[in-house]
Amino acid sequence: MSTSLPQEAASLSHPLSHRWRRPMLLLSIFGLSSLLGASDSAAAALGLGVIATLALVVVHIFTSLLPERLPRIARTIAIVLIAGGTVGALELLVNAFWYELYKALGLFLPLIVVACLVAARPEIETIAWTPRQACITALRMGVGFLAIALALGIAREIVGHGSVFHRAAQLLGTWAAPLDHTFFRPSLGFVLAVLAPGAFIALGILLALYQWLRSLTPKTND
Amino acid sequence: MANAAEQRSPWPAAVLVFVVAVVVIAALMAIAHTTRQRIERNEHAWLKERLDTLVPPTLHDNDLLADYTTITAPAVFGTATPIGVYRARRAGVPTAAVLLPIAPDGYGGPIELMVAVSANGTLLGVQVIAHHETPGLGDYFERSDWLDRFRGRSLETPPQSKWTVRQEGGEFDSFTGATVTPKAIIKTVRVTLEYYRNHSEQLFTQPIAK
Repeated sequence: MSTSLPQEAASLSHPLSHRWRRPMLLLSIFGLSSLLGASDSAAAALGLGVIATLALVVVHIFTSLLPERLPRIARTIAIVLIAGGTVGALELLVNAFWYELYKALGLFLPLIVVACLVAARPEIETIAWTPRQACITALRMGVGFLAIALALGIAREIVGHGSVFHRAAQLLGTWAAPLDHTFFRPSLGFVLAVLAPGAFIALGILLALYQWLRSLTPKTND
Repeated sequence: MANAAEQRSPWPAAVLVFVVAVVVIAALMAIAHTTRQRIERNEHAWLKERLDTLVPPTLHDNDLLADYTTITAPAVFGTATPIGVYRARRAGVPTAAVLLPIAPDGYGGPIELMVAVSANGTLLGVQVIAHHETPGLGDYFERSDWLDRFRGRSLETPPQSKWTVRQEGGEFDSFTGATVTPKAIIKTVRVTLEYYRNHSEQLFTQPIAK
């Protein structure tokens, strides 16, 4: 039995590695789902962004500790386990210490695991990072994620409800109370902004803005 | 390179995956164990805060959270899910009940409510605990005082024919662009009051349930 296993493992990993690429593209879109879903208010977006950054850092550090020369299938399984465990643990901790935030994020909190797996793709492709490199890479990704979530959250909440960081004190803690501002009555808001399509429209505008800014600056590096 | 790795014995990799799984499970179990009490306390505190805003502390001297029972009346409430009831008593005499009915016909799915009724059948207040209504339209009650308008009402004020939204000749305002949600809430509150009128005795004598 033990002699037939290497063959099995080999035949398992090859078709998988081939098929892996296309679903990955699809998966990277799903990676956005929690970002888009929780970005209807600035406070929830900030909370989700911080949790996602934490999750990314922890997942990347643990995966960088895996032995370098590991069959791809084993790496994939190990990374999925690490990502699932990390996000599961974070979910429990948020439930215990930021209960209101936990209730506000709902399903989008466990969905962070998808973003983690998308981000961990280079690790699955067996690029070996030192824990320090992994940590820096994850932090950069997390801060990017946080910035986009926050930009979307602020924009959508202002347009949709006329406020920013509404209920921030309940969701994030009393330190966030001064962030809470109301500009006009919620009934005057443009409701579409806080609905699901509004998330995609806001993301589109953000991408357009990014491209426009890029076209303005002369290409010096990257 | 990758091939060479796959040609070697699979056992070290298998053992490593197994070890990772065990470590992840053990860590999760430890965290779940240490946070369990805190999470339970959070849920209780959250419930108690809502119960306290609905039932003034002067109205009862018992622990509402402990005096809990459930009722099942699918014919009345339109759902087979047991409905929780917290009972308020002062010196053993029933003073109020907080029912947790579910409005089955919300626009985005069931709307979980908290309806506080005083012993004489007037409403002490209504809260929404969980819902899936359209943000910005159907969740108008979250950012307004709409739910406060139930306070002090009973089956006589207004009479049954007026227990609906204004568009249908009722006494209650609906939300701009959304009538399904307020209608569902109003109907369930009325049904709850009717259930309370017909079953209040049984409600307070029923044994405590988990």
